[in-house]
Amino acid sequence: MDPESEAAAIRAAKADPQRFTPLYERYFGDIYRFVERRIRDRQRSADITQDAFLKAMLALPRYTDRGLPFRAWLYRIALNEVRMYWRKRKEILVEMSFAEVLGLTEEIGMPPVEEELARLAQAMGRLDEAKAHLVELRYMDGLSFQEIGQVLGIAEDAAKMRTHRVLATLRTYLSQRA
Amino acid sequence: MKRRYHITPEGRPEPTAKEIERLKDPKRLLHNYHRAVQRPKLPIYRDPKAFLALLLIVLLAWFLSEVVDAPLEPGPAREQLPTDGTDTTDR
Repeated sequence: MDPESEAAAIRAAKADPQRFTPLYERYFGDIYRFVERRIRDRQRSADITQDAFLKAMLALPRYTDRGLPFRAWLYRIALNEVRMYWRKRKEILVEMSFAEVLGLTEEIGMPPVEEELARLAQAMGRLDEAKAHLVELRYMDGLSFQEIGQVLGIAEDAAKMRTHRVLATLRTYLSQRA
Repeated sequence: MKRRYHITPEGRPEPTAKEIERLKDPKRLLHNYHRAVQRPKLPIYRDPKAFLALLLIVLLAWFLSEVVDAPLEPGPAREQLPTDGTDTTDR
């Protein structure tokens, strides 16, 4: 969906909620994968995705197009739903593939070998929630800094700067363990 | 809340496009939306259960107000003593 047809679809859905379906059809897969990576339970992820779309429909009249991707606005709502689900948990397990952390290992300058990746997983486990969100959004979900900013409600530059700080923190954790 | 990461060569298998298609349910979404935005069909005084609950609350409030406002039982009459120093006893 190109930006113009997306803007038209948003306008149509604002005027008539019945016409939200094209947006739902377009973004369901993205939001579902985003939730499923964090929840690891497919049926529960589908329910959370459905709740996120319901919240989006209810909030759509207040949505203003500021040239930022609509998808990122949906991610923000989905992340809030995931956080609400996490609140009931004592521990969260996030599973990542080598491919998902490849960009991260390149940025922090570590070889993507199994032993090193186990150390990276431990170092990531030491990050607080806000820092962990930055790493996950950037490397696991592959979002741009502009999108990360939209999801976390911060400016693009702030998202970039904070991500670089998190990478520095990770390098410190990894060097401490060496 | 503790966060743990597990990095494996293949990671978790991503859901397939077919699976995602199966999970989509726009009709349920619209149904839930309408349920969320619609006002209750019946006004509260026409809903029998809500009406009975309201009636019960009103009766309870009336009963409590009656109990609180009821005058206290007058006790045995006590002889009033003079306060001006005059002796009223019979001689």
